[in-house]
Amino acid sequence: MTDEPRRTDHAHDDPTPPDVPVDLSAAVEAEQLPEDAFEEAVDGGPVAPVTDDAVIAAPTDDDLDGGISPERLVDYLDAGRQPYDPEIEESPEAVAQLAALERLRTMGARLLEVDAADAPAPDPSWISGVMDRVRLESRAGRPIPLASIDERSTLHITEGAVRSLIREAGDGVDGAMVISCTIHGDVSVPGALVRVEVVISGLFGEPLPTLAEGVREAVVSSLSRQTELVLESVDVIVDDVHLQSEGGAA
Amino acid sequence: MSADLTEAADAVLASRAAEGDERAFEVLLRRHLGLMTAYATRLTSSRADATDAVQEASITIWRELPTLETPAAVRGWMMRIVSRKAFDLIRSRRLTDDVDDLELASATPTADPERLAASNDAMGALRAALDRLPASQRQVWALREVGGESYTEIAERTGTTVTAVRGQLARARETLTREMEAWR
Amino acid sequence: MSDDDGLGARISAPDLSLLAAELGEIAASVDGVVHVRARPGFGSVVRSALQGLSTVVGGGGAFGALAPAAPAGSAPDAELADPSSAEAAAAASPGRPVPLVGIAVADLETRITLDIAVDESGSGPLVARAVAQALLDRVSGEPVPPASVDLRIVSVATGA
Repeated sequence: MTDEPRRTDHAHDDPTPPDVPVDLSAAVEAEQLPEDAFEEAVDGGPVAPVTDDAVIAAPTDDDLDGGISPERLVDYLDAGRQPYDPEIEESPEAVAQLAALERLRTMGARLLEVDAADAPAPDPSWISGVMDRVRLESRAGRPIPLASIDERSTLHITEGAVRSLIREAGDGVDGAMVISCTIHGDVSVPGALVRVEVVISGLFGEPLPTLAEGVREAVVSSLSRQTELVLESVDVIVDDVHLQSEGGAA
Repeated sequence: MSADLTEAADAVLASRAAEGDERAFEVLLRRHLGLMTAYATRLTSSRADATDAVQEASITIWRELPTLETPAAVRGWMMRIVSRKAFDLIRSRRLTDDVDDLELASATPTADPERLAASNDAMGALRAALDRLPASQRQVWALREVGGESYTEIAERTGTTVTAVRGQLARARETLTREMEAWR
Repeated sequence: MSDDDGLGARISAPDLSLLAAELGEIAASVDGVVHVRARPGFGSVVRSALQGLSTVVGGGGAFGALAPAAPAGSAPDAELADPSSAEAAAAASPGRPVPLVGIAVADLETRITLDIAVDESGSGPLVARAVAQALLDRVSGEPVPPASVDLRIVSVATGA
């Protein structure tokens, strides 16, 4: 049996799969029957050569490089038992151990949910403390000039404030929710043409072009009242669709 | 009528928060605060430390949200920041990984007698088994199983090697499966 | 502007601080202003931007311009306000907060700096101009070099 680099896909919501570089020093080379090696591992011997100072004595003198180490089982489990490995799947002990690992994983996930739900509700002052600190680091972005009252005074509205205007305007359209917005152009030059791009999510069932037009109009109206930006265009892109009560799922 | 942010998907909240929407950030934070706290508690074995770590993580999350390339992955991304801050705290408390810290195990908030005794449900049995693990094994297990971090990331976090991490994980899993199967 | 004194008449630091507090109240009372905020980094900005800086007050709590003004090329006999005395004097009653509006007095100009949040029911640019004018109107007649306003709208509030 040859070893090939295994890509382990961790079974989590996180779409960024963790890299699991194959540690070839722990690679299994089948020199003995898989079942024998597995039994040794199940008996509690070390499953991988450990190079730090925690040395664990092997239960037998046998070469533990054979067969199915628990680590290999876990990697197999992480990969969703794909591709099908007959050596593992046809070994009753391996399958049993896989089942135990799977039970552990499931239980672990459930435990996390319980602990998360049990976590005491945050102190209101804790949250407001965090939000106060957050507000200190507000994303002002580029300062956007407003016509001033004299030569030396300067009046601006921040790009951050304008983005929040766009969000509010878009959100205010029934069925629409702003996902992101961008102001393209040199906003520091008064009178320069700028192009606003708004990405929204639309309520399922709503006619999307109508929604997009509603958002466009709301944004144009808001920006014309609150800024002096000269708008070349306001482009609204419907990038997503949402249901009425999604429950906030990720 | 304004759209309800509390119903919005993580990706939308993360996008908006990255662009400066403080309300969206607060909704996102509240949504995952329990999870983040539970994770930090399992890593630090101290509710107080966990709260501190999560607070620092929250500010860092706000700061670094503009760098997140896939907003949909924000939850896992936030958890990684939590573990970063938890380990900053652990290091500053001078807990070293190569010490099997039994005192630490008994200091966990979940290791109260009532819970330990009442292992008549599998959950309690697992919680107790986790609490009995040496701190380093428990941390590595949590980083992998809860945080979904890669071996490389875990090695960086704990200041060890990938091989050592695999070893710790194997031992932790072995102990836990043995205790859970025994409980069955 | 004073003509007989080449350095320009000086307002005392405590009085300047009182003025800054008053400007904050004036700004906040302009129709359409939701609240006034200190400009983050106000102190360091004016120190690098203004020539002949002599007194800096305000700019808010943690971001208050508390460090001494050390302008490049200042006249040797220019009075430099000692920040601790300025603050101590300004806090005539203990616990008085540092004014949010920042005022920097330099050789040739007085710069007034602030951020504001406005209500979306009004027009941001109009409110901004109204605030700037109100502040300049108040400062004219004070013994300071010609004043200018540096104002930013940092937030447009809806409803609440």
